Amino acid sequence: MASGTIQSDTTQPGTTQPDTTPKEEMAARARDRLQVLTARQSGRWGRLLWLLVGPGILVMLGENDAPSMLSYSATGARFGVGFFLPFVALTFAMAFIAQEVTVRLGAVSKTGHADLIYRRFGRLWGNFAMADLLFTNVLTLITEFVGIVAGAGYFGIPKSVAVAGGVSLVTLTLAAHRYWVWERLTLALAVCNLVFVPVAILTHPHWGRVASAFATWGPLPRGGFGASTLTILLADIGATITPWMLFFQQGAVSDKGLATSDVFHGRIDTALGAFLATLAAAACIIAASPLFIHHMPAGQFGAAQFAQALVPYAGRFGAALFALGILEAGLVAATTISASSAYAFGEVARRAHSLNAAARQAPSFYLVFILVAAVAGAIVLIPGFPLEAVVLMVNIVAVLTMPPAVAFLLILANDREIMGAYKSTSGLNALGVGVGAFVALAGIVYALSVIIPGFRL
Amino acid sequence: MQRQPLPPAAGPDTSPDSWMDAALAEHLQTQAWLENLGPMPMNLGLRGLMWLLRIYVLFMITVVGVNVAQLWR
Repeated sequence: MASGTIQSDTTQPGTTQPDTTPKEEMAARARDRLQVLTARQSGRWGRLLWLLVGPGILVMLGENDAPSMLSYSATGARFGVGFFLPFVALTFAMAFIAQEVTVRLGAVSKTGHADLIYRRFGRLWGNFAMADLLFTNVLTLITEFVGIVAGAGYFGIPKSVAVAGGVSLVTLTLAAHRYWVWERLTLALAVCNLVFVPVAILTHPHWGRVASAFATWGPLPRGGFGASTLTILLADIGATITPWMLFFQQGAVSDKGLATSDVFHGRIDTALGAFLATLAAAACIIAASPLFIHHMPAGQFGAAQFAQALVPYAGRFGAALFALGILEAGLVAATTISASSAYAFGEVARRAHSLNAAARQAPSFYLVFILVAAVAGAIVLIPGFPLEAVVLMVNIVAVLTMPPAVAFLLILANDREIMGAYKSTSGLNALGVGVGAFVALAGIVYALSVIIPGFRL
Repeated sequence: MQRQPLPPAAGPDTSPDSWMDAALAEHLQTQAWLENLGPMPMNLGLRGLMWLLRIYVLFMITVVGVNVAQLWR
């Protein structure tokens, strides 16, 4: 369980604590479990699904964050409706393969990803994994606030107010000190990611072309896969598969208290999240495609510029929805990425780390949760900080740090001592290795395009 | 050491003393098991793979730096 085997922040490090999980945290989780058991015993399957969904939808819609939606917008504006629509669906299918493992790991081990890496691989490899997570989380959080500021800017909200509002929202979701409340609040916000669907409809796309793109994976990008196309391709992969997702979902599954009997529902939750996220991502590409048709140079557009450019095609309402979508994407991801940072910190520092714990029992967990968001927000307010470079590269950096993360994931998923009967099957291993190889090869192709001038596939 | 199979999930018992333990039976058992979970044996091949992937990440981060510099110019 989330902090069951480690000390509360109010106990001294190193003291023997056979069971130091705060009573309130245990009681909260027990109440949740009781509801699940009652729903299962009474055969109320709809209620059971409602109780068990959450981490999977949150992680997938959370990954449809501000830089990801901007990356999809840039894709739609540069290439229109074509190859990238089914490609994005493929990347979410790969994300499902990776995230499904975290459901099993969390439900079986009842602990977080960072804790398992440190326990099984030792401090050296644990520190490497944490360095990757910290680096990508900080960069990504900065871009979430760039998105929040840009989205709010469209409505005339000043930068500092937008940042303060973002940090306040992250803090407010924690106020109940209850995982269930936090999850439902964040879920309610996350489903607003589907706001890109009405924006796409408002641009009156040619639905036949959309269907044809999914069926034929075409048309391919004009001019083939040169350096700039490969950069967008890698950014789109990075918009769906990143290290924080692994740490977040396993932490959330364990904090939610999922048991081995809930793995099936955890898979449904993750598949549902992947489907909704694909829908929103595809809608975003379709929404921006009129800019491609009308030859608008949108390569360096920010959120507000995209929204402004869409006014002639989606109307003022559609453009406002687009800006709202970027703002929402930043807010949800700021919350989930802060959660992944706080879970990982608690697991590594062996401090209480549960959203069911009271603030006095897990002060460092809540402090890290709020502090990482506040620091990222503050960085966005620094005049002259190279935000454009961060936004441009954050998804790419996330992809490039994935191969070791996938390796840890697959090794843990095949660790018989941890997984027992829930160890990955050979079919799941083949899919997992395929995802790792795909991500690693995509990185190599990107490196070649940077190093060799004029390189193209 | 292979992990013992988990007991079947307990049904709800709403008596004041035992409902929490019953609801968290699997969790409490896993908690006790987790306390004794130590490092896994890592053979040479596994160590080699981990170092290779680490070098990959460091190399790629350098490439990203080069790319940012190129775009900046």
